[in-house]
Amino acid sequence: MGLEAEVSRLRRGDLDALAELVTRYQHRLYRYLLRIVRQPAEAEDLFQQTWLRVAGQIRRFDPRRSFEAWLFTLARNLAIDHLRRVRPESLDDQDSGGLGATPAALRSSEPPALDLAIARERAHQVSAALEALPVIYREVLALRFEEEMKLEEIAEVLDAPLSTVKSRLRRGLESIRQELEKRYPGQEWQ
Amino acid sequence: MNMSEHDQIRELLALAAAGALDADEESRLAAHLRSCAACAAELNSFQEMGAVLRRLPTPQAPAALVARTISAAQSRLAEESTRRSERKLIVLAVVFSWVFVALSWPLAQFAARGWTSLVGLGFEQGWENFAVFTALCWTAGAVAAAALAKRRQQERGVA
Repeated sequence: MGLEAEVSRLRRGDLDALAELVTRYQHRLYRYLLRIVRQPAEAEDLFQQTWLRVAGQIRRFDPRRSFEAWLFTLARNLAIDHLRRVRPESLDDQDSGGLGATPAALRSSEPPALDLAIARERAHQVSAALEALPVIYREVLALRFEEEMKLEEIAEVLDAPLSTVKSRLRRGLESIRQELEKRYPGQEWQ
Repeated sequence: MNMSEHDQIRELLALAAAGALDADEESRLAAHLRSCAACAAELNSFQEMGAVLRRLPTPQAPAALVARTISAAQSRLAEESTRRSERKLIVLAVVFSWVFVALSWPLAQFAARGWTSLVGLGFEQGWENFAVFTALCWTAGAVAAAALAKRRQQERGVA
């Protein structure tokens, strides 16, 4: 069944539609929250809170808008409020963790060995570099490259102008490259 | 080569890899890349990073979390739905009380005094009667609201 039909049924109070939507977005929403807060336990709590909020506010959702953007906006607002309460320093624009702060859930399960495929090793390296970025870059890169959202949808989720989205995308990618060059000097990324 | 143009184009490379250029920027970039190998290499580098970002493994939401979330969110949705129905019922009860007062007083007068009641509203018979009548109607509305509240309390107790 299509997304629009599920959302429409949810707006009418259909419990099955809610279950279908949670299932549809389970991994993507969890991944996005994990990208922001970096701690699995916190991401799990925020995941549940997000869907409770969806259930409580679905009547206020304007069906002409993108449900996905609305869902990720709710999740982001909860995650940012959470970080503001628990780790306000992580919301600073400056590097908040460094490469050593990569959480276990986002690292590859095993350290990359020399005989692993280059693609897998690069994924590990980029993942580590991504996790070292400040949250404002992590989230915009996650929304663009992982969630494959349009720029306008990202602007809606972030509640920021398009120019800010573009600027963060550019700085985010440049920062990842700097991190990679710092950590793996001499490695070609072509 | 015009260095300022080169620097401006370099600013666009990361955005190009993110698919975030407008048509004008894209054509400027394409024209520049034809004569600048350094920028072409840098663009490749950003595109490779973008490709890796798209292919990063997706952390899986634990099945128990998903089940727990569905159950909690469904309860919330059902609760909201009940609350909305009850709000509608209470509004209906209030509207009914008002309409009942407005319509039944003339009817009661008609029953008591026949056609002569049509001459006036009958307040000269005593405003106290009207007040008592209104109070009775409102009491009926209040009883309906209290019954609803009680039922809700019982449902909460069962849940």
